[in-house]
Amino acid sequence: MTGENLLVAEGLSVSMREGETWIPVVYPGDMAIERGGCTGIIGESGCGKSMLCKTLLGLHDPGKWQVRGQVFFDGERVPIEADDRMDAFRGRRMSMILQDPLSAFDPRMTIGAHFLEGCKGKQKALRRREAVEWLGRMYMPEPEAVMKRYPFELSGGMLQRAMIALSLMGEPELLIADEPTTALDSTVQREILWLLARLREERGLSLLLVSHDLKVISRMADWIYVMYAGRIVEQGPVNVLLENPIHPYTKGLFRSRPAYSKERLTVMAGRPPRIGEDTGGGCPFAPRCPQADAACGEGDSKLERADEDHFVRCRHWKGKAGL
Amino acid sequence: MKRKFFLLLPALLVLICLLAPVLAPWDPNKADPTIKFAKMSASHWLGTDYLGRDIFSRVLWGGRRTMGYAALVTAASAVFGTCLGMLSGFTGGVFDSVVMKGSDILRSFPGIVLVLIVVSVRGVGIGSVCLAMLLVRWIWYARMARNLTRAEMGRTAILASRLSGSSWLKILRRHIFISILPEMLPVLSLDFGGALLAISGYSFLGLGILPPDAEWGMMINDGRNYMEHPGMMLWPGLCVVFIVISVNLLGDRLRDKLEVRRS
Amino acid sequence: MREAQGNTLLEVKNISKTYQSRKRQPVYALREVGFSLQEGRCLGVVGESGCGKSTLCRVIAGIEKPDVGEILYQGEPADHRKIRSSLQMVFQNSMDAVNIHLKAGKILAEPLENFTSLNRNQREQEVERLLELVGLSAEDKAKYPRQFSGGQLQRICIARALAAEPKLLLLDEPLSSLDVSVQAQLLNLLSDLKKELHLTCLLVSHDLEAVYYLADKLLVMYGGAAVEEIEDIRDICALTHPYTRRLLEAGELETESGEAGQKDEGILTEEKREYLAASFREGCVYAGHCPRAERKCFLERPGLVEREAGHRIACHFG
Repeated sequence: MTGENLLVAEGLSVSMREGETWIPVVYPGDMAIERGGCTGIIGESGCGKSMLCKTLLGLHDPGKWQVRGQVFFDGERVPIEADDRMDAFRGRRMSMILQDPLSAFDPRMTIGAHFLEGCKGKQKALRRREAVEWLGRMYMPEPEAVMKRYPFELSGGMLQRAMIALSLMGEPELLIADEPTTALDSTVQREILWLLARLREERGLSLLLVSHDLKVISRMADWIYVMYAGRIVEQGPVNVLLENPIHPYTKGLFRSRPAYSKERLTVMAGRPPRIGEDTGGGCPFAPRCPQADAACGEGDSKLERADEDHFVRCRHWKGKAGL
Repeated sequence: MKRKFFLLLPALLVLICLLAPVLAPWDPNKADPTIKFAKMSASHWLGTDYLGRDIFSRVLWGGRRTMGYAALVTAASAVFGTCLGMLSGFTGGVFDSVVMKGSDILRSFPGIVLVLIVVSVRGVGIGSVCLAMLLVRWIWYARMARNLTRAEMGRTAILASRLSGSSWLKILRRHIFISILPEMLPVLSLDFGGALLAISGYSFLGLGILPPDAEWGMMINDGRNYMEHPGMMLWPGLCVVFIVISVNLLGDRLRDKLEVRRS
Repeated sequence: MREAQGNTLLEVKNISKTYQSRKRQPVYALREVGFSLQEGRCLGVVGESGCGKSTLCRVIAGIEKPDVGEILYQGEPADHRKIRSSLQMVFQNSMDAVNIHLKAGKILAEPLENFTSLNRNQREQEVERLLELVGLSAEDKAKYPRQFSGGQLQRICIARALAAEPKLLLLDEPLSSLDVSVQAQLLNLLSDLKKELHLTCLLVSHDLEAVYYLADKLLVMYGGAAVEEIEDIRDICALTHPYTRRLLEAGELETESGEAGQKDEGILTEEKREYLAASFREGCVYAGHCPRAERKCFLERPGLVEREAGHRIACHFG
């Protein structure tokens, strides 16, 4: 990576409690988010991408989830395990927007009330002015009127804008966007992505964009992590990864989308494993992998350096890379 | 294992009550004043009451009656209520609102008042009590079945079934009934406990089963006058408490199981 | 270059459907939508949420009745009781579209019981054949819906629709709740089935790329109206309606232009709302959002007119 890293996660892993045992959801992995950049995580359902985001913000209930590893924000250790000490980070230094904007708002409160939550007296007027300003920055038409509306009165795209405004009020340096456009229509989707890109340009906002949509990730991100079954299976700069994907899963994923063609799709057999599903100790992708052999069934492979900043978790990346 | 055992015991009690004609050592109504208030002994296992009748035999016969009528009322109201509720939820519209308004009116009568009205018209007897209970108990089932049916109707599965060429009757039977049954079962179990308590209660008040026939509630009432001989009240009382607790537990367990299955 | 035109299987003539919203405002789900579909071809219907594409599917399937208009099946007015078996549908959410208390075998047996005179054994065999047809194994008939993944369950729904041996298959967003890699599997399956069974399909989706992959012709809908139609989907780049253009460009991301930010409908004052509602009733459905909209667009609704062979468009500017 060329620039300076804003957030670094080392050996970060998440496990879910089920009865007496802990089921690994995210396997230990390292991650870095460049300052002012857009880092993308791509993967299918159950690959642990949303869990990873929640972990970075320390949003896990310690009774149900076990988090290991360290997260550093701007060189400072983030107390992801201590909910009370996370307040210094959450909303102020990093913030998050979710997939379904409607469920993120309290239906009984106006949009304005969400912005004014926790404010008293004189603060309120100041904060209201700020909120209107922020909504305006989100290219929200008539922000004053929006403040008085209830969530259900707004369209999905407008709500997502309001949510972005809300999460940027504390002027965080990092915005974690967990499938920000999945619930939206494609034309609205484009507007939201455009807005995020613009925020990045104008305010130097760093982005962590999580999506299952390759198109979204490849257009927005400059660094991509590919996740599968709780593991980072491939990572690298966007152009390297798009032009020369090495991991068979990444290749399969890229080929799965019909790009305005009628040519038969090359598909991966099977489906991604569910959280906690037993993948047999070997490489979790082996059952679906076209180039898997006996060795793949024994022991998980490690993340290896394939190129300067291109990492792959596949034992055959060298030998069978031409496949 | 322990919990299974806990459900096995009431089942055993139900079974021996059902077999009362075979198992009861004495005629439950045969009075023998010479041995009244006898203590527990080999011939009279739980002793005798104020007329010298064998308490064990009376508990068995009483249980048969109490639980039998409770089951009858529960089953009849469940079948009637569920059918009506499903139909009401299924058809919607005017029929639905008529049924629901009607059930609202019936529900606003306190149960005891309804029993008194029926009894005053038809005379005292278990038949009147059962009828009065039926009049209010089906409402529960109808409302629940109706709401569940309504929810079920909104599912695409019903549309898909229609496209598969199934008739409405078949859809009701095959899809809606099967889907709402698991949710109705716990209610059935809980309601049985309620019906049992109600029948015992009315008999206790002298409205239900008439003497000399045995019935748990009535036996408790009889025992009330002879507090110095607690056996008369104790055994039927224990049985009532035991059965009601058991069916409630059963209902809870059924519900828990269903919730696990649903998530 | 155009394919030989087969017999027209389905013809939808100017159907409209209006719902009443809770505030007694009319909601135009469909307005004068019409198209025809030849045997063995696949029509893709694209549009965004609320554009009426699902309602169109339901009206054709006979689940809902249109207020106005007619549906012709093989040239005759469709009597859905008679053609029930030849017109089947696959729904979006497979988990909601099956009875979770029934085993897969039972689910598949239902249309067989109703439409065929097979006995129990023959039905069993047919169920197994159907399961294998959609890429599942015969043993899967003993499983409950819960034991399948979303993609497998959607295969079962497809098998159920095929059990009736339909001529026309209506696919209502069949892929939208599935993972990308599973979507690709189902796209291939559907394209194979279409060829093997010589199915006529109507695919409703918001995913233009998936529609391009499966469909032969395309219908673009907005606000309940068909705004553009093209006979050969390979000419997709020739589409000119401003809404279609926007839909096509949605995939592309431009960071320079500021217009993308202001296109959303925004919060409307009562006056503006009234005005727009009126224009929505009488004018072009897209006028409120169209960058080219002029006075005429708000006052007069353009009809779907043939601009060139195999390309029809509803726009005053063509």
